[in-house]
Amino acid sequence: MTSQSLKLALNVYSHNRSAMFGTIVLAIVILMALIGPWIAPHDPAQQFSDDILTPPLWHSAGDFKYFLGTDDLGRDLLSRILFGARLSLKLTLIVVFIAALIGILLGALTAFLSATVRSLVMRMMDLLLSLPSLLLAIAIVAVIGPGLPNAIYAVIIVLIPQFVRVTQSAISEELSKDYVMAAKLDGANRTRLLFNHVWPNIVPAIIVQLTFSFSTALLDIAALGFLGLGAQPPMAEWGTMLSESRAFIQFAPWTMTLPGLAIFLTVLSINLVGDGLRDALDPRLNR
Amino acid sequence: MAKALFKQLMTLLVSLLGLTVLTFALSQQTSTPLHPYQSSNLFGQYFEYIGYLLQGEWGVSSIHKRDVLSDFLHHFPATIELISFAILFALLFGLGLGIWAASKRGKWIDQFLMTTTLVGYSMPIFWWGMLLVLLFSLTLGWTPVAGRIDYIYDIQPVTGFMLIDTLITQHSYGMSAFANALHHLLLPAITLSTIPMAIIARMTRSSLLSVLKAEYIRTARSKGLNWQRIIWIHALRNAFQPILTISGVQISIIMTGVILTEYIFAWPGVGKWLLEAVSRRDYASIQGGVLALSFFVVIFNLGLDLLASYINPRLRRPS
Amino acid sequence: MSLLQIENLSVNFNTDEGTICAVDNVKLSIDNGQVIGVIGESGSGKSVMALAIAGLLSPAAQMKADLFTLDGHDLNRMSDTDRQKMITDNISIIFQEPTSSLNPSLTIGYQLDETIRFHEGGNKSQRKERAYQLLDSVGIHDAKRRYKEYPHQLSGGLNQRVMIAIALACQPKLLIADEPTTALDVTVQSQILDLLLKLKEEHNMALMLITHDFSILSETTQKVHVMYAGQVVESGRTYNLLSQPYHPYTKALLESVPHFGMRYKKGRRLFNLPGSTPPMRNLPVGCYLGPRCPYANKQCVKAPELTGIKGRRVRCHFPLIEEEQS
Repeated sequence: MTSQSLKLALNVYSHNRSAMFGTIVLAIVILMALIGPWIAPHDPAQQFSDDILTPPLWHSAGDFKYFLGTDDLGRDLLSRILFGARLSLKLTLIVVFIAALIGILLGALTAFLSATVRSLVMRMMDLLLSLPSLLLAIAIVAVIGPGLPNAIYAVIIVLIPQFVRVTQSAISEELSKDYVMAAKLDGANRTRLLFNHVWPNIVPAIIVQLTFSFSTALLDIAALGFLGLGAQPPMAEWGTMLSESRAFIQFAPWTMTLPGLAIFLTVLSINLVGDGLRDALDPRLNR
Repeated sequence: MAKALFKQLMTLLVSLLGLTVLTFALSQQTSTPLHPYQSSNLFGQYFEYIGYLLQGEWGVSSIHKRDVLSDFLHHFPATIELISFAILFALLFGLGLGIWAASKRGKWIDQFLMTTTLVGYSMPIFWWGMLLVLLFSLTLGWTPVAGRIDYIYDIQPVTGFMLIDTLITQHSYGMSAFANALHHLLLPAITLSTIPMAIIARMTRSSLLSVLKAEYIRTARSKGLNWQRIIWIHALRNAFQPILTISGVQISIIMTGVILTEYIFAWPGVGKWLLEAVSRRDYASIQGGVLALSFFVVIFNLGLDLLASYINPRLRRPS
Repeated sequence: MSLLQIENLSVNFNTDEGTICAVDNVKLSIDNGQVIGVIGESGSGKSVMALAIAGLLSPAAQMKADLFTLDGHDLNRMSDTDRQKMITDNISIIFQEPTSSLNPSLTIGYQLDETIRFHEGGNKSQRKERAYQLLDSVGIHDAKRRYKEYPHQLSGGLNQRVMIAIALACQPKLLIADEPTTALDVTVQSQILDLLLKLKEEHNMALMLITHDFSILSETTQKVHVMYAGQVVESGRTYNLLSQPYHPYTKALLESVPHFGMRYKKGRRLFNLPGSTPPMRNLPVGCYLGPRCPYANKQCVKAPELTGIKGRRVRCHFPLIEEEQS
């Protein structure tokens, strides 16, 4: 991307009100995750057995000691949500980057395959893409067993095909363009072509895919935690916290609403940022 | 047409091949082999596995010793019932809201609908379901918390579809059992339909707006046709194409959602059944369930492709 | 009496960068059965003007006219629905891209039938007969087969014929043809033009031919309006205007067309204007042609008015009359 088109994209992005809202919310979430351990009032695992199911501050029975209340074991909800943000964002980052790395590499490799093999590989990728992501993740977890590390492997595998798809289609689109033909006639070999000419042009598509993968990864990790197949209690993970709250919805709704709100706001902000990036970066979808 | 159909069938075959490799790998996790294989190498066993699948022998659950395929089919109607209603809601309200927003383009109602749907598609479905339960079941008491029907009704499964079975057994309960089943279905179906509804509404709006800019819409206006006719006959037919295209993704979202929804609402469908199998490490049931559900998704997508080519004459008869 | 009479027609678009005036105080009249031409480069506002007359502007556009009468009725005094009905009953329009102007998902027959049903009515078999007859009259002889086909199965020329048939089904008094042949093959172009002129005679319609190509106008039209940057810069009888243009822009347009057998003096080039059509968002001060005009001087920073000279109207401070006489 040239600096001029970057400037243009930045201009489009900064004039997109919902994208700016998403950016601000996401920045706050990231900040919370970064400084969480220092601003959290309590240890997220510490059980205040005298204060179980304390409602948040805005309730009449609220307690200043526990700003967002406590859960059924008397653990401070604010501290758990802050630590949960740190954990969720960290896991999501790891998952998406590993999946992107593998997926982009595989996608780039398809450029070197013969047409028949490539179409076979892409058929398989399409199949994996068409399958429900959670079903696939559950199947994988079923093989390698429940638990956080395994859930992460599962989500990585589920995310890979999207990156293969995006990379492959972007590459094949670029390779069919006239300037690549010209470079080919100049005698550029395929690897050089990929790195010098094609790569800069597919970066926008991959950035957009990255943001959407963040929200998918975050949701899938939380869903697996919620189903008891991912992070296990007592870990402060948002999905696991939701799962633990199920029994107390009626008596202590805040144990359910607050961690869920954290997931929702994070996913919403990532999606808003992703929409904004897509509008700003992808000229094909640009009006 | 024949060529296109052949290509579709080839795609289907490749997909099924890939799927069965996956579930064969899953079935290898069982301590005792799923089937009495003759062959000693994996390759031979895989072909025997395909053979058994074709004969309808999908293995026997290691936990409750029931046949996997019949167990799946026993739970499947409940899931179908749930997702059909969810798809119905999603299509009905998604299309409706999308058309409404498009026809009020730029007005506050359009902005309101688009913001709402944006919120809708970012909603973690497991949280959304619990919020709905908290509001409608626990606080307002309008809907039941879980299950398909109250225990006072003793409905013998005939078709497996509760709504149909309650109608068949009307003689014992009248319409009250049917109403009760519908009542139980409402909240899970709404939960499940939310995300697809939001996506369909957004897609309908943007697709309709881009179609309305087309030159043939200008032609239709120059004929003096009224606005309803332009929208329903001239615009929607063409706007439907991209909506159908994303429907393949929708079914995948719905299948992910149905697993979570069944878990939240204790809905006795295949999602809940599969989760129980996972927690008990019942690999025979897991491979069967994954295979059957994936197969369903693949077939659904194939059907969508055929529907798309039926609607779009350019795909049907190449010029 | 004039069939269509328009005075000071303006069309504005409000955009993020301010208001764009796509059509600027255009005056126009067409008599029954008359053929007039409108010529200009792309972006000169000729198509927007056509859409404005046919009542097909997008809601984003703002249109106003001091006078707008059609067949003796004052459209400015009508309600929106009455005006729309008046226009669709009397004016039909065909466009540059026939294939994309037809709905790709509906058969030719359906699209024709719906027009007949709306304008003439009749039962199903009567309408079908009428459709065959219309298709036949526009030169589609295998009408029964084409009736069942989709636009993508027909060539561009055939689709334009279908568009003309649809236009005829409205029984218009005025047919606007907006670059009807630009997208078609050269051999088909003249067939479509001949067809339009033949039908104009048969149905006693007025015809407004919009184009960027003088060669189309010279043999077909009685009057020509030349448009530049949303304004009419010159108008008059076709023959006079073509043989002796008064406005520098008209002259430039005419001379930029290479003619077969045209004799070139040694060293002479095809005349062309320097630069390109100014963007509507950023028009020059005064005469819009000023910066590109070889005859421009200080006075041209004042906007010229459209003034009558020898039975013609020209928007220029220095019409090319003296030069021609000397």
